[in-house]
Amino acid sequence: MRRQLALSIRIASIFMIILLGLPLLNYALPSVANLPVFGFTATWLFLGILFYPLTWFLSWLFIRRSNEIEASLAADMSRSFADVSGLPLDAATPAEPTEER
Amino acid sequence: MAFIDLIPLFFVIFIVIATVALGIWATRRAKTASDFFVASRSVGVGMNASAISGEYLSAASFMGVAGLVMRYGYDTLWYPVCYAAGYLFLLLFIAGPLRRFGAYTIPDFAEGRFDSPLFRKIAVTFVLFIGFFYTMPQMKGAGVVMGEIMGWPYWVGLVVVGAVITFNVAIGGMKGITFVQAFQYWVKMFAISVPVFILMSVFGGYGSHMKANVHNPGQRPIFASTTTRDIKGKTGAPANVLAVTAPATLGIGTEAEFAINREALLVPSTSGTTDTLYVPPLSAMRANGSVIAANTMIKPARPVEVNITGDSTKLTFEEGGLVSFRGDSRVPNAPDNQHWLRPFGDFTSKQGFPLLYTYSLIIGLVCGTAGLPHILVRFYTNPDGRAAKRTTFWVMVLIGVFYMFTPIWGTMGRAIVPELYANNKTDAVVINLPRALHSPMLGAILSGITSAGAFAAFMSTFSGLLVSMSGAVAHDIYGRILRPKSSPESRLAAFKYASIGIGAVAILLGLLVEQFDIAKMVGWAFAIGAASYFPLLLLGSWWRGLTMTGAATGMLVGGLASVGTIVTVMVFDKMGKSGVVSPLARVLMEQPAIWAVPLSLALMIIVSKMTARAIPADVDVKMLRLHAPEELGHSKNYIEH
Repeated sequence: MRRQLALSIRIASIFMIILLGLPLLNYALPSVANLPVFGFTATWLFLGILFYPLTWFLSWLFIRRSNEIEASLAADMSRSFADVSGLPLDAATPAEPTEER
Repeated sequence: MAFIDLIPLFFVIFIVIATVALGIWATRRAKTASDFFVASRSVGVGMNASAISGEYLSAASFMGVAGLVMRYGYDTLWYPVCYAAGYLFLLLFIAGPLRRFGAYTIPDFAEGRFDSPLFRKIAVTFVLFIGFFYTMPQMKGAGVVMGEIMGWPYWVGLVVVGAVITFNVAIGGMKGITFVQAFQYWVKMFAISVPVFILMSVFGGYGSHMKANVHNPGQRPIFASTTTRDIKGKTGAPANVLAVTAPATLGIGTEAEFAINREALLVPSTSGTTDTLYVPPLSAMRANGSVIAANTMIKPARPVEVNITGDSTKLTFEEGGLVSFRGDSRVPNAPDNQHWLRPFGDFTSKQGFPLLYTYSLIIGLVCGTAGLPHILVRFYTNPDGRAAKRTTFWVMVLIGVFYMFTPIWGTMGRAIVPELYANNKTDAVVINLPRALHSPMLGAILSGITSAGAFAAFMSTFSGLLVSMSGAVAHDIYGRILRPKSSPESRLAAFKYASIGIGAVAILLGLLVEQFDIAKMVGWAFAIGAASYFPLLLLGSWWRGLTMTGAATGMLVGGLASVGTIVTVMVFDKMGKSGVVSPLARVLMEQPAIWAVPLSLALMIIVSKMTARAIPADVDVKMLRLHAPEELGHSKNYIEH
């Protein structure tokens, strides 16, 4: 849970810096924000179009890392469970087999 | 009506019949109560992502965002961006744990996390608060679309559509809706994208319209030819104001009654048909007329031609009527290109605190997505937490692609149908823009497609909300509070009656909000969710120290304070009393998230610390259920079926 939370917070921080940084950039450096790019202003192009793929990338990154954490956690716990009880995991719970076995 | 005028209606009827028929077909297959409420948790990722997107893309997304972008420009791009980005937060902090916990609704989570039936009752109230706030803009969407395609008065369209959807929910239930919502996502996606490509091929692309704004920063939209618009009276405040930039010539009939914020000169007609009103008074004409002081109520005895040569002239209508604008007049209420195109335009700068306004808006929208009752319930239809995460990813893709199209409508609407600014009809831009095509037939067909899309939008969201709210009433208030021993059959009956009652209330509320922007109203529902459910779900999922008292205090204070300030702002606007509070207070009341979310979180933490002895003894078990991977078998569905 702690590793999951750390991952969530890490990705949320990257996202928040971009999300909350953009208004600040617009405010502090309007000449950069309003630079013409392909007929748009830079800030419109970013917020109106490019922002969406960015959120997809971050969510894809999160899901990949998060599933890795879960898999390794499940592996650790099933190993320690087997150590304590001497039983394989599926003797105690009806769970699906983990990749470990 | 000519045949061609009926084309949009055919499209709308088709989509309604298809929806109802799909609902009935699916209902026949829904057997148990569990089927009825959350579709048996058997829905695949693709279907579920389409259904969540279908339910999420409401009238606010389909009509409202395009309307707001047309009206205000850049600042309102935050709406679609944050509607979509909110899902990232949902994914990072809430989707997985919530699904593992295994419950039907947020009240189930609230009760299950603290084993407190009392807390369930508190949590249920917010399903209704947020739900009703969210239904108001959907109802407005219904009224506007029917007004556009049928010429019906606002209330007629609203009542008819509201009744049809309510009936469908009362007979259908959720199983029907999962399938129907997925279908409706694709209807909406088609309707927002395909017509826009055709329109761009005729009127020029997104980039070229943007370029026109970039290269002429001081320009404003202009009426191409004489145009007549129906202007609302005082009952339509704040939409009863024409902010005119000179030069402009307006024709106003005798039914109207209005005041001008500047001195004017009334010159009676020599022929006896039309008087002329000069704003400001022209010295050459002074001898011929009488000076009218600023802000005096004018009730024209004859039709009057208002000749405006002075800037920042504002006409406020006490009594509405038809107003005609001569060609070459500047379009009232339309910002100039620069204010429209650049950040911190009229939307966020009106009160003088643009950064504060922007940040508060962003926080409310992003956190609010996680606090929407009708969206979260869908996560329980994923087979496991891992599928819940995959579903969220695909939802972000599906709605992101959709949202990329919405500003194109706003941008083109500004260039091609600017008359919508004059009487606050920008919310109808997706219906009106196709009609500007030279081919009336193609225009009617494309307008029919967008009308059908708009219908799919408010039908799906309104249905989803009705299910959540009726579910809360039937499942929580009736089934657990009033009649705990009631049979599943009587709960199903309660669900049907509740949906009819709630549908009726939603229709009544919708009648009150015609003058507010659709997307802005939805933003308010988000802000309330952000200050009530979001802190509960965030801390409830991740912090073992949260107590029931702490969670309830934060949720109630944060949520009710936001409801209170937002309703106050709406009442002020409706009564035309904008200057009652200071500009800073007005910003904080209109966009409360920036203080209400931290307040709610802080109260939850402080009160929980004070009542730390009340932390449930089995909190570790709860945390395990929220976070342990499925492989370990700790998850169990809160309600077995």
